[in-house]
Amino acid sequence: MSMFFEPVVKLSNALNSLNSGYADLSFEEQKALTVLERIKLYNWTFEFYALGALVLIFLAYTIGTKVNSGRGRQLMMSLNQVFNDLAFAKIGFTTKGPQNQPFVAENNNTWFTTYTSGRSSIESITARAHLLSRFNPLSIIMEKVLGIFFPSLVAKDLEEFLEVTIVPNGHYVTSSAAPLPKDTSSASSVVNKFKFISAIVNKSDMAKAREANYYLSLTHTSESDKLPFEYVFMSENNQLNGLFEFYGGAEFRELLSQSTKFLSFIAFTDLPEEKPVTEKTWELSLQPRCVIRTKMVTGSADLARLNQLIKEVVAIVDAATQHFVQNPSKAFITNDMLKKFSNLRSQELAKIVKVVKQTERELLQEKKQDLEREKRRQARNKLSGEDQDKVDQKMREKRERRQRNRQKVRM
Amino acid sequence: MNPQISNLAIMLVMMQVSRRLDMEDPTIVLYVRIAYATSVALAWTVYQLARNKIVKKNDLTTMKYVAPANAMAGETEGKLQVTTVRDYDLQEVDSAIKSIYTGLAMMGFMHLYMKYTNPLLMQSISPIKSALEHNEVKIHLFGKPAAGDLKRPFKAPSLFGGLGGAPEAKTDKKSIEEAEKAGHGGVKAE
Repeated sequence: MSMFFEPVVKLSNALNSLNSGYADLSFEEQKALTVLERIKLYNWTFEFYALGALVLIFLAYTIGTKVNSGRGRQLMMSLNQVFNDLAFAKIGFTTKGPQNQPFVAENNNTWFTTYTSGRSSIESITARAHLLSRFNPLSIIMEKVLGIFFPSLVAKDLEEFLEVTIVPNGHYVTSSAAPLPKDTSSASSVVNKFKFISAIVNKSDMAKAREANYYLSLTHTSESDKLPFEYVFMSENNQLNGLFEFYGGAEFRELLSQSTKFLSFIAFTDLPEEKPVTEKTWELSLQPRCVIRTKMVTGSADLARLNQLIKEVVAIVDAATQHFVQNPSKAFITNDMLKKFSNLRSQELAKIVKVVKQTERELLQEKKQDLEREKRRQARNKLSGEDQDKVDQKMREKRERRQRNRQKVRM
Repeated sequence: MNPQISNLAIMLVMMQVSRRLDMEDPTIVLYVRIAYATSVALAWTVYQLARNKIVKKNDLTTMKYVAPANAMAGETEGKLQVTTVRDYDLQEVDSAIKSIYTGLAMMGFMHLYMKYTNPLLMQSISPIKSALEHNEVKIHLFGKPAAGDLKRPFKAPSLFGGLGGAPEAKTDKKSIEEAEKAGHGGVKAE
């Protein structure tokens, strides 16, 4: 063990030796010195290094926080502009003051969130961005090094990303001046038509996307001529692969090929990101929506592409809602398709229920076994010493017999 | 010859060589250090060259296979891997480069801290040998076709030919289709 502490002891001795001249003075000699003489005699090397390290940490903190704040603000304000262009009624968060807060920055400018609602076809759009904790470069380096050797230890959401979630509402109006539809009962049936999984995933992020998202892990991956070469379709049914082309057209394809640098995936889904473990969590987590996940977007050109992408996806939701509301026969998603998709959900739910029941059965059996063991122990305690020995002997023989039988079966 | 067996043979030969060398002699220690550093540097360069070729080729053909279950991680079923040829190749090369760094750290500890020189000598051939025998290097630097033994996903090498090797990745349509819709994603880490 001393071998491991040897360098630490050596370092400590070296540090102490820096001031050996000062420390070797006797109390009287030190007392005789003036303050200035003491300052001159003392070796301040260690203190200077310590101060230097503190200044570096402070600088890293200040610069890192400013960089994050600048990038987050640029992205959030750009998204707010898109929401404004898309004619949303409410953008940002309400505060006690007269002005709305366009976005929220949390955890020392590492998480940024913005929100909008109040529009035809769209209930809300939530955008959440995660940035590296640049104010603490040492932790970033440590996590990266740790990630190289122990990838499973690396925390989720360590990298920078932006996730935009668009939730449809099933209401369609022709213009911003048009009156609200009087009959709102059909809205939920329209929203129910968005219960399918269809995604366009960047080939560089396929494995990660399937690993992190339950809904994508239920899909079939396929390459297609309808997509730029850098992307694949991940849909629960191959029929769904035509959805983006049907509503998005050639412009959307062009936009996809321009966004390969930052776009991870665009997914229409109603199933959760995290795998539900009970029937209740399954029911609570169903929410038809479209998720756009990208890497952190910076620079005006990429931000413009991202904005265009959000507008295109909103246009797809608009067009699909319009078809569902006004002309269901023209809609890409047919009732037959919806029936098929519903079957997949029933099957998945059945799988979850089966696992839950099995776990419950196992727990019950364990409890039962514990009870029986306790009963046997109590019955044994009631017996006299001789009888206890007899019972123990019987149990031992029984165990040995079982073991022998098991060995016979193996042979 | 099976690379694992040739590694073993080289190890035995190097053991004999190291017994005949005076590891206390600073000149010999210097030569051993130079030999090890050269071997590691060459291996690293070979991998980096292969890596550059992979990135340059940018082969985005999709690959699907069911990786064998990792019993150490408590997995009972194989996991579907959906990747591209480029990403698979990069993953293979990166893991080889990572193993160089791990080896360097181990040797650094053994030689600089524990003051052993024998392991340094014994490891002075294997890095470059492994690099030249690596499947990715064979495909991208030596231009061998990715077929037969070099067909992706690569088979895990076993010491005694077919016996006792690691389980292979499944590439048949049925296994892939089953794994594809198994819904193993989004599992919350404990």
